[in-house]
Amino acid sequence: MLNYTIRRLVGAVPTLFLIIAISFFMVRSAPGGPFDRERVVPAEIKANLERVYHLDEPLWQQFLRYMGSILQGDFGPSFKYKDFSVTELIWQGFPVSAQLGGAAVLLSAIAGVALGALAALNQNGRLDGILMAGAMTGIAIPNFVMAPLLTLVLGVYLSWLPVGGWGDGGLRQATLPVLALALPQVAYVARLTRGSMIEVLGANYIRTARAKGLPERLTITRHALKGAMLPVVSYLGPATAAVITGSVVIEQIFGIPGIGRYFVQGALNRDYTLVMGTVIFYGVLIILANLLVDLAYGLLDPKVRYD
Amino acid sequence: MTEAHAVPAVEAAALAPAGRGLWSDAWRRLRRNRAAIAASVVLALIAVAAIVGPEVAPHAIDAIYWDRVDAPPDFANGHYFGTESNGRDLFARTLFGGRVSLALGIAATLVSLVIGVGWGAIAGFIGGRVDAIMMRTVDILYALPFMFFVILLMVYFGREPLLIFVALGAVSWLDMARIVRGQALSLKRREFIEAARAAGTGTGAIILRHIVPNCLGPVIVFATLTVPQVILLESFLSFLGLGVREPMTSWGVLIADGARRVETAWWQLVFPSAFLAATLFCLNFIGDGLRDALDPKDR
Amino acid sequence: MSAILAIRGLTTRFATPDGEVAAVSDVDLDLRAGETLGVVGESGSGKSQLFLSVLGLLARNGRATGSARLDGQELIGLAPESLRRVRGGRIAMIFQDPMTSLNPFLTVGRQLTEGPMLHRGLDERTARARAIAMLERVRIPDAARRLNQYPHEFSGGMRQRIMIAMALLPEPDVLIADEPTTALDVTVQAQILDLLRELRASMGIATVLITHDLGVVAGLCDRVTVMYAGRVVEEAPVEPLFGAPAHPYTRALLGALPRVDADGAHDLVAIPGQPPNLQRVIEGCAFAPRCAQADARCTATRPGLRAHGAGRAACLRLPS
Repeated sequence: MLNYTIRRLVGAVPTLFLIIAISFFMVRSAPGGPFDRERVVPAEIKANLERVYHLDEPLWQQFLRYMGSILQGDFGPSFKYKDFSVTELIWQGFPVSAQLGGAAVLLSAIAGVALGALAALNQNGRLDGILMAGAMTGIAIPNFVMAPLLTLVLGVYLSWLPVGGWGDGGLRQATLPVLALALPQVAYVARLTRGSMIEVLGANYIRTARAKGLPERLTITRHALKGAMLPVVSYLGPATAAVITGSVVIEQIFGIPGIGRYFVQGALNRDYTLVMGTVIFYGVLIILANLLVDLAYGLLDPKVRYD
Repeated sequence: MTEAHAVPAVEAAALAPAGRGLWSDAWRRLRRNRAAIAASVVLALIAVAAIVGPEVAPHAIDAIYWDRVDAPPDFANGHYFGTESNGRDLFARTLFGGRVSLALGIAATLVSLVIGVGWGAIAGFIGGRVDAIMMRTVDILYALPFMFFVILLMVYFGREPLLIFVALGAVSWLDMARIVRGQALSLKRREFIEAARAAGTGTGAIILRHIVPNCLGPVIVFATLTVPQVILLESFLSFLGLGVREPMTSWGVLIADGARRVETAWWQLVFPSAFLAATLFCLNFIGDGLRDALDPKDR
Repeated sequence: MSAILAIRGLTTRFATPDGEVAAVSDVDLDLRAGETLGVVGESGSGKSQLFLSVLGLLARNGRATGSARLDGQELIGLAPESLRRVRGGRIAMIFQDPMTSLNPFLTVGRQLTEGPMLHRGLDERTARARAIAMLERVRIPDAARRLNQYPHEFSGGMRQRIMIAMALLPEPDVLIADEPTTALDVTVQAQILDLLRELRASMGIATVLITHDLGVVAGLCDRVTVMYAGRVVEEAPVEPLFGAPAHPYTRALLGALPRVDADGAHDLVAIPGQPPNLQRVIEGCAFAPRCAQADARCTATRPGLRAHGAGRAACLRLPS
C-alpha cells in the first residue's frame, strides 16, 4: 500500500511537470503583460518592475527559476495583490474552498448513493421514475443556473437563507453554495448508483445470498452494496474535478473568498503568477483526489492488490 | 452436448459485420422508447426555433428600446420573454443565443469526433508500441485540469468563436479515443478485416473503410452525449465572461446577465436557462435511448 | 415411500416486453426422502426455473402458480419471510457457475458461516469450526487458513466445492444442484461428481440434480425426470429409462449422448430442429415438430403423462 502510494506519487511527477509547463508557456506567450493596464508607466519604472519580477530574462530561464521556486513551495509574488505572495493567497483561500468543495463532494456521495439505491430497489416503480426524472433534470441544470435559482427561491422569496458571502462558513451561509455546487453531482452519482446497483442485484452471487435465506436487508447491505459502490468510488475522482471547476463559478456568484475567486480575478487581471499558482494547485488537488480514489477502490475490491 | 445445435446460429450472428439488421433493430427499439422520441421532437422544435426564430421574431436581436429596459414579458408589445438590461428583446436574443450554443456544441463535437475517432482507430488498429504510446498520451492528458487551460486560452488569446470550439473540441476527444480504440481492437481480429488485409488493402484504407464505419454505433451514442457537455462548457465559459462576445450572444451569456439581475428581473434568467436545460435534458435522453437501442444488453 | 417435496401443477410465467413466456407448464414431480432425482432437458426446458420457482428466487418479472409442498408445507405463495427460513435452512441450492456465484467481496469464511449462524443460531466461533470441518469434508486442504481468503484466490473446482460446503452446512433436508459441473473442466467435473456421490452415500440428503448431461445422471441418480418445453415428458427409474426410453425425446437425448460403440466409432447425433418458442401457446405435443414419429394427432392433441412400464411418459404414440 505504501509502496503503491509512493509509486503513484512518483508517477504523477510528469503530469505535474506538464501542468506547470503548459500553464507557464501559455500564459507567457499571450499578448499583453501584467503592467500594460497600469496608467502611463514610465519606461524606467517598467524596466525596474520587470527586473524585479525577472521578466527581462530569457523565457527558459524564467521557467527554470519558476520551477525551482515551486519546488520550495513558493509560487512567487502576486502581480496585483502587491503585498501578498501567491502562496499566501492560496493558503488564505484554501480553507474556504476546501470546506465548500469537501462538503459538496460529501453531499454528492451520500445523497447520490442513497437516492440511487432507493431508485434501484424500486426499479421501474413510481419512486424510481420520480427520482430518475429528478436526476435527469439535475444533470441538465448547470450549477451556475442552479445557484441563482436557489438564491431567488430560498433566499429572496422565502428569505430562509442568506444570499451571499461566506462568513465563518456556518451552516446557514454554506447551505446555498454547497447545494448549488453539489446538486448536479448528486444527480450523476444517483444515476450511476442506480445502474450499478441494478446490475449487482442481478448478479449470481446475490441469488446465492438469497438462496441462503438471508433477509433482504442483509442481502443488500452485506452482499450488494460493496460491489455496487465500486463504480461510484471510481467516479469520485472526476466528481472532485467537476466540483473544483464548479467552485470557480459558485465562489464568484456567492462572493466566497476562496481560491476560485483568485483564479478568475487573476485571469481577468493577467496576474500571471496568481493564475499559474492556482492552476497548479488545482492540478495537485485533482491528482491527489484520484490517488485517494484508487486507494479506496483497492480497499473495497479484494482483487486489487497494491504491492 | 444436446445444446450443440444452438451454437452455430449464435456465432454466425456475432461474427457478421455490422449490417443492416443491427441498424433496423436499433431503429425499432428506439421507436419504442417514448422518452427518447419525445426528447427528439422537443429538440427538433428548439433547433427549428433557433434557426428561423430570430428572423421571424417581432423584434430584431439588436434593436434597442430605451423606454423598455428590463421590461417583463408582455404579449401585447411582442416581447414574449420581456427585455434585457439594454432594452433589447429577450425572445429574439434567446433564440439567437440558442443558434450560437447549438452551433458551437455541434462544431466542437465534430472536432472531438475527428480527433478522437482518428486517434483511437489508429492506436487500436496498429497496436503494439504505437498503441502504447498513443494511449499513454491520452492517460497523461486525462490527468490535466483541462478546463483551466481552456479558461487561460480564452483569457490570453481572445474569445474568438473559432478558438472556442476548437478548444472545447480538443478537451472532449479523450473519451472518444478510448471508446474507438476498444472497438478497433476487437474489430481487428474479425474475418472481414483479415479478408481485406489478405486482399492487399492498405492500412489507411482498412481504417477508413472498415474500422471507422463499424465503430459508428458507440461513436454516435457518445457524440450525442458530447454535444450537451460542450454546450454546458461553453455556457460555463460565457458565464465567467470568457465566452462569445457582443454583439453575438449565447445561452451562457444570457444566463450570466440574467443571474446578475435575478432579484429584479427573473425572466432574464428563467427563459434562457429553461432553453438550455431543456436542450441538455433532451440530448441526454436521446443519448441514453440510442445506447439502449444499439446495445440492448445494457438495460 | 412418501415424497419430501411434492410439486403439483406448477406453472411459471415471465412477463417480457415481447409478451408472456410460459417457462414451466403444469409440472407434477415428487422427490422422495433420501433419493437422488435427475432432472434432464435442454437449456430453456424450464428445469432450472422450476426449482427457482419453488424457492421463490425467480427474476422480478416471473410468477409461479400451482403447488409445491415441503413435508406438507405449501411453499408457493408463502409469505416471503417464512419462505426465507425454508431457503438455505431446509432446501439448499447449488448453482451452475461457481466463478460468479460466490460473492467476490467477502471472505469465503464469511459466506460459509452466515447461513448456519442464521438458520441454526450458531455463534461465529462454532460456525467457523463447522465450516472448517465441512471444507475438509469436501477436500479443501488447509481449510482453517483458507477461510480468510477471497473467492478469486480459489480455482473453479475449489469454488464449486465451497458452494457445496456452503449448501450443506445448515444441514438442509433437500439439496438442489443446478448443473453443478457444467462450467468446469472435464477432470474437475469428475472430481466434483465423485464428491457428490460420496456425500450422497454418507449424508443421504434428498437431492435434485438438474443437468443436460445424461452421463452425469447415469452415474448419480436413482430416478430421472425428463423435461421439454416447460413440461415433464417422461419420468422413470434410471435403469428402465436408459434401457428402454419411452418418449421419442428421451430416445433422441440418449442418441445425442457421445458413446464409444461396439465398433469403436464415436457417435454423436444432434437432435434436428430447435425447441419451440414458449411465447406461443402450443396446441399439441411440443416435441412434434422435431419428432420423427409424429403424425397429425400429435400436432392437434396435447399428450398427458400416463403410466408406462416402471415410470410415466407423455406421448400419444405409446400403447395405452
